Amino acid sequence: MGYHSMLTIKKRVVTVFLCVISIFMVIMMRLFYVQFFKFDALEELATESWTRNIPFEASRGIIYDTNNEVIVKNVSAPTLIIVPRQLNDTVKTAEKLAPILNMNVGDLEQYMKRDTSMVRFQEGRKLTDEQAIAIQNLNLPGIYLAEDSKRHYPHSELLAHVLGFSGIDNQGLIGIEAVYDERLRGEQGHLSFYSDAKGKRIDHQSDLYKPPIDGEHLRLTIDLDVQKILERELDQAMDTYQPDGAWGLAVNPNTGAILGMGSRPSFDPNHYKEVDASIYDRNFPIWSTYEPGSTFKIVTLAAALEEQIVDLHEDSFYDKGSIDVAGAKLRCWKRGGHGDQSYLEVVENSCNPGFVKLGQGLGADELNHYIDDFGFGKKTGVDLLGESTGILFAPSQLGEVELATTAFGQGISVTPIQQVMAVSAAVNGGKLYQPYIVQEWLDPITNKTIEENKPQLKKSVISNDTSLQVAEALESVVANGTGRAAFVEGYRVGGKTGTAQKVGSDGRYLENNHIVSFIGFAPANQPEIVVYVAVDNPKDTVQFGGVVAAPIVGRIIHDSLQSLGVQKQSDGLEKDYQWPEEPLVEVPDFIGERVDKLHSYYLNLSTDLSGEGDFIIDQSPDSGTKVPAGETIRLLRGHK
Amino acid sequence: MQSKKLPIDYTLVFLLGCLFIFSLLAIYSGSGQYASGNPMFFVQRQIMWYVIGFGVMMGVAYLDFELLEKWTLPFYISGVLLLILVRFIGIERNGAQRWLDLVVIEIQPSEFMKIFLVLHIAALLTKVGKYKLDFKESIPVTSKILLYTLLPTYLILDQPDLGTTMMILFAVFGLIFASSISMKMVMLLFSLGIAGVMTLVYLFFNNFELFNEIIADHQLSRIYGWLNPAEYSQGFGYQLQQALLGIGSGQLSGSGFTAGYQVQSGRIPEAHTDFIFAVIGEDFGFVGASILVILFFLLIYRIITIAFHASSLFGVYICIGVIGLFAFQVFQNIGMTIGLMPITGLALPFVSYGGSALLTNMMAIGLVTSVHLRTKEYMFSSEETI
Repeated sequence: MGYHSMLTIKKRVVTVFLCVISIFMVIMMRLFYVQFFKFDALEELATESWTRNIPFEASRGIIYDTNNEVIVKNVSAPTLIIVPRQLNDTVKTAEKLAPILNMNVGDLEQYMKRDTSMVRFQEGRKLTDEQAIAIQNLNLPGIYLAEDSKRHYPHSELLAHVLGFSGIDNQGLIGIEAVYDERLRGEQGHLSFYSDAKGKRIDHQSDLYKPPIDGEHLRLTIDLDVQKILERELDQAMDTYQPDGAWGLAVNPNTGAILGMGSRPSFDPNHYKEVDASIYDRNFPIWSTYEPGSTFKIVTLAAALEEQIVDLHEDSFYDKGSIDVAGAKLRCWKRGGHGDQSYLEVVENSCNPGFVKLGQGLGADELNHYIDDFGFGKKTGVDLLGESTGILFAPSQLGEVELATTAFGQGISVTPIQQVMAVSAAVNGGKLYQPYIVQEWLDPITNKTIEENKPQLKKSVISNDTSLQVAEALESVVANGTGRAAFVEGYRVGGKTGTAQKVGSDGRYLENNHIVSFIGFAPANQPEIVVYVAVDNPKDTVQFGGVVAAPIVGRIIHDSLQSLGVQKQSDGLEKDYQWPEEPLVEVPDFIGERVDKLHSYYLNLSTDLSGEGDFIIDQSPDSGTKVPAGETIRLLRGHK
Repeated sequence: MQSKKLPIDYTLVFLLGCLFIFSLLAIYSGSGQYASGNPMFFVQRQIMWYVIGFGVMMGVAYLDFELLEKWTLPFYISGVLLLILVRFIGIERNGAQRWLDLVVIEIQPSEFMKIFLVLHIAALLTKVGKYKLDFKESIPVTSKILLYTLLPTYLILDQPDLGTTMMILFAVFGLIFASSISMKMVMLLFSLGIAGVMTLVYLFFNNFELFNEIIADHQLSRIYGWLNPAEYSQGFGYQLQQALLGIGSGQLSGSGFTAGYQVQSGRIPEAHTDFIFAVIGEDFGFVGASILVILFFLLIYRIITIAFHASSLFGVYICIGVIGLFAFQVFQNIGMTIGLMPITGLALPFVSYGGSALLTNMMAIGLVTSVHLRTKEYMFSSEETI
């Protein structure tokens, strides 16, 4: 019995011990929770209750372009602070202030009656200069103006989709402003009156003032000149063609740095509240996906050349206007076909059946492999919000017909930036880069570089040799083929048209509603810029990339290269051109020539003869003038 | 054997040494806001108290605790008398009358009372023996215990000092639970306790005036602050909020010694006494705080082991009572700092700055040591030890 009872007490001692263990477990768990999880929430609550802190706003980082031009800055916008205990006459003060703040006296009085040391309110924030001066002139006790700033976009619509905008608390809401909000924003500082439990002030200087940490300045790869040129052209296209939309993208093919990017319709970030979200949400060059159309043929071409399936000069192809693939008839865009052509001419003419042949030569696996290598079907990873992935045929779905249409850019959907990066890789020696828009971060005080973005090579897709051939073929497209309108005198431009069909809501292609595009680059022998422009459903024109988009790209390339300081290539280099049709033709001296000899010599100029006689006695333009090929020269006949 | 060896248990002394180091670091860091002139003021005094306390501990340990068994009633009575004295001539501080000014030092009779009460109840329980009592047999001893407990707890609660009151009730309940008193009786007391709390809750919602008679306004506000620190962030909620922020900002490894923002800016009140755990949590982070918690655990574990092997029933009860006192203080103090318990004025044993509490706690360790030292004689006895 004794043993039994002793055991009882022992058991109870053990139970006491177990209780103690559980008490300690509870402490440890709670401690873990407080120290690792609860802190953030607590801090927020505490900050709200620290009414003794006067906040000092950090200045948001300035955004520069690559040449140190200011793109986004801050302007002073003071905030009104009321210290209720210092007010002499609430009613009178409210009556004087209310009209300046555009609010009614009653509401203002409510703010003034609050039982806190300081009152800040919505209507008193981000005041204009006029309001601030008017308030200062009133010189009212208990009314203070605290320095604060507001985001200002001096170029208004320029680069709007890329930049995005910031809200009233200087917080980035969309675009670059949102992506890099944390770094741009900096950290709020405050002046604090600390006191201990007895109300005694503590002499810890470091605790009294915490200076704001300004946001870092941001330098973009954007070149404002290129950007302005690009957007000027987009505006012009909007005027000329009344399209549903238009967008463009300019990239340095040797680094992946984005030089310019624009979308229409656009908006002014200074007044973002008045704009529909569907406008500022859509940064078309990275957001929109659609059939690339013929521009995609560049990928097929590069793959075929790399795999040595075709020799552009030796091999030939007969286009009868369509090609039969697995029982389906795929038509060439030109009725009746292009007839007998070398493969170089297939490229120049953008001949669909010719590219189907190349695609078949590669086979589904090879072509898919190159499409993947060139970066399609996945995001490029550009440091902007809202990039799309695009849609490709899954390898299992890639039957013969799908392979054939993919080869000339139909049935798949890609983004403009994917195309630009792929073409950059095709012409820059085969290197696929990751596009980027942040060039570097600068210290807000010293203006020294904190962090610099380096070009990121993703992959070598094709050999340098293949790349040279692709560039050469594309130069020939502009010199001789469908891209003629993009030709620029003095710069060797290469490029490719694209005319993409749009799919309607019923899943069928829309009639007479295309996205026409052109992708161009120059100088062809050493590309410095790749420019892509797309115009969505242009009106009152033939909806062909070569007609609408090519000349726009030509102008952008010309003006941009001039602005970038790329030298025009001399006449000597021009003679290296392998093609009979030079971009510009020098008008010969016709005066004194016999009329019946004219036709045999000057095939690339047409002539308009007037008057009578066997000899030419005058001409317009004068001899030595450079004119586009096919230009009409007016000649006056006379008797010698 | 006592003549040759020092009357100490080396495990306990080692643990006390660790707590001593924690105590000095935290007091130095936490007292900055109160110290004027000499930043070592509180540290020096704490060292002095530790030295005195260590002497007291050894002195108590040197005595044979079994001799105390006969003297528990006089101790108890003198404790109650001191408490009554405090009612009339005590010093009032922070709204509570707890201290007696003895010219040289101020003492806090409630601190000594808890030891005396534990001793007296241990003696009462020892008298009824180690054989299990049935419910009927349990009634007389239980009633006695309750009577002896209620008198001092009433006096302490009236000071007011809710924390010490609760600590004593907790320790007494622990003693009853571990004793030979019928489990039915234990459950009955437990149910009564629960019922009491429920009644208070009921009164709070339905008869606030009566409730207010029992729980004073300032105690209620602590409970409000505990339940919702953000909303009541001006009063006790503020203390808790700031303490939580301090501990929270310590994260894994802490802000560093004397580098804790919350403590150094004076946002955490009483950082060297009641809220000392916040200093440790902020300066030394989760690592430091959990080491401290583990030290307390080991301390209690060591006392449990001593109780487990003790050969004297009185010794076992002393150990259980001491565990009850320590465990409640640690849980209540750390618990209030991290928002588990409402705020009361209980210090963290061995760490918080303060003489009376340290002396009492050292006395308690001395008692436990004495129990341990006198267990060895029976180590090889064939008899079951308890």
